[in-house]
Amino acid sequence: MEDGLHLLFHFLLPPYLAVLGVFLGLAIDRNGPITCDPKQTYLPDWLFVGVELAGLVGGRLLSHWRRRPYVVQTERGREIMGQLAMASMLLILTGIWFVEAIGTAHISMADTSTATFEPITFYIRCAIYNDRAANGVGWWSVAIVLSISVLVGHWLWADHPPRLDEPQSPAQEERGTR
Amino acid sequence: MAARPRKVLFWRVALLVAASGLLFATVGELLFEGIFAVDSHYRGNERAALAVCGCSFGAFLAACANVYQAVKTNRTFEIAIPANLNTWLATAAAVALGLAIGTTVFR
Repeated sequence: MEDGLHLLFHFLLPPYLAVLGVFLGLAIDRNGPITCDPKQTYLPDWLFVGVELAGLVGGRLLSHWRRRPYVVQTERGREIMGQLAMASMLLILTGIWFVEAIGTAHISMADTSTATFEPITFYIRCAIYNDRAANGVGWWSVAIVLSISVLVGHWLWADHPPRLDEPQSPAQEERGTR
Repeated sequence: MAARPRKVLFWRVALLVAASGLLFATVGELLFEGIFAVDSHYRGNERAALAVCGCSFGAFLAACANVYQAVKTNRTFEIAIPANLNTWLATAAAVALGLAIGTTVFR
C-alpha cells in the first residue's frame, strides 16, 4: 500500500512540475518583470525559511513509504566513470559559482537596468520581489521553495525503512527487534 | 578472505572543503576585487558566491583524489556522511539555504 503511494508520488511529480512551470511562464509573460524595485524591502522574509524547513522534513517523511532499495556492487569501469562524472560536475559547479561571483560584484539592488553578467541569485531575488509586489505573500515563490525543498528532502535526505529480508544489526538482534 | 574495509575520509574531505571555501572568501576575495576592478559600492557582494565556489573546488580536488584511487587500487575512499551527523548537517544545510533565499547579498 505504502509502496504504491510512493510510486504514485513519483509518477505525479513530473506533471506537477510541468504544470507549475507553465503557470509560472504565463505569469512572467503577463507581468513582464524586468528589474527589481529597490524602494521595497520584501526580504528577509522568514516565511520562506519556515516553508523550506517544512518541505525538507516533509520530503524526508515521504521516503518512509518505501523500503530500502537493493544496492548492487558496481563493476570497476562503472565506478571510475561514476567518480569521473562527480569530479566533472564539481568542476562545472566551481565555474558556475565563479561566474556568479563576477555577476554579483557588478550589480546592486538600486540598478534600474538589467545586469550585464546576469547573476542567477539576483534574478531569483527579483522574481520574489515581483511576486510579492503582485500578490502580497508571494505564493509562486512559496510554491517553488516548497517544491525544491521537498525534492531535496526526499532524494538527498531520504530515510527508507530497512527491507524485510535485510540482515539485522547486532544491536537489533540483541533486542530481538528489526 | 573478507575484503579490507574502505578508508573513511569524511572528516578530511569536510576539512578540505571548509578550508577551501574560507580561502576563497578571504584571500580569494582580495585577489578577485583587484583583478575585476570591483567598484567600492559593490565590494563584498561576491563573498558568498566565492565561498561556495571554493567549497566546490575543494570537493572537486577530493573527487580527483578518489578517481586516482579508483584507477590505482580499484577501491574508492568511503566519504559517506556518518549516520549520527546526517540529521544535523541536513538541518544546517537547510537553514543556510533558507537564509540565502530569505536575506540579501545585494546592496
